Amino acid sequence: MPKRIRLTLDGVEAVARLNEDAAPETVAKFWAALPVEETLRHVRWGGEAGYILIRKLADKTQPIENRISIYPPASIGFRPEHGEVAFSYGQAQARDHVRPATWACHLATIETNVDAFFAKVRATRAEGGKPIRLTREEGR
Amino acid sequence: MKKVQIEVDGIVAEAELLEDRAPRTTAAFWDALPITTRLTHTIWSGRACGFSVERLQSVDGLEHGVCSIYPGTLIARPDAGEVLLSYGASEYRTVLGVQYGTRIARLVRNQAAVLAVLERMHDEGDKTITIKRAAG
Repeated sequence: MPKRIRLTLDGVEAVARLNEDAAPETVAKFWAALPVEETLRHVRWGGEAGYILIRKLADKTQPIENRISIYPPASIGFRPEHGEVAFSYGQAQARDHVRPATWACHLATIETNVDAFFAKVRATRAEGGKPIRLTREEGR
Repeated sequence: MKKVQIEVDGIVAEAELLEDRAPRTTAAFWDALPITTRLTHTIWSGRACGFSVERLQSVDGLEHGVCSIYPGTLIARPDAGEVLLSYGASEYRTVLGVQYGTRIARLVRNQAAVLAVLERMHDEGDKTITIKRAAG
């Protein structure tokens, strides 16, 4: 059974399926880091997405598995060099101040309550950061 | 040299228009004042915040085009009716990639305080910006 995580963003819950087959090393490290509580903010370079930084996962040497540059809507991307987890609700890409386009791991895809969850992500642009909690979805 | 007063979140700063470099764009911006509108953090251009100035759409093309937006400078993109004000590393970009804009003004008074407000917008969200012609 594929691993899943539960996301709680400012009171709105969703479940995402981790892409364990395509990104086994990344998923294993991410899974081991849970639970995570952070503030989700809107990205400044990459378009229609929110992000958190999980500092303990930052690793500039980690290969990027299951590579994407353009984030599909409802995807969760991971950039190991920053420990950045990005939640895309529209047109978005892995970018930063140095690189107009770079790579990220397609870590997971949100499966439930997609519209409500991403409405909250979108709202961070106008309303500022919101609390988010990521936990393992086990035994359900 | 024409100057404008910029107020965000209770902080007042002053900027001078770069009329010699961008005469048509600065003239259109000057004519549009005073402005009170929503200031929103950019999602493609890095550490900068933007606001709409529809009157800029009357300006045809760019003047003295630049990509990098240095802290405390205002960049206009007339076709988008948009002005960005940078508080850190910033480059004029859209979904399509790096673009050019016209540099129209730079802060000359109280820069640090207003840039601190812009930086906080990453955590706090939108603010209201007021720009008017500076007295004298």
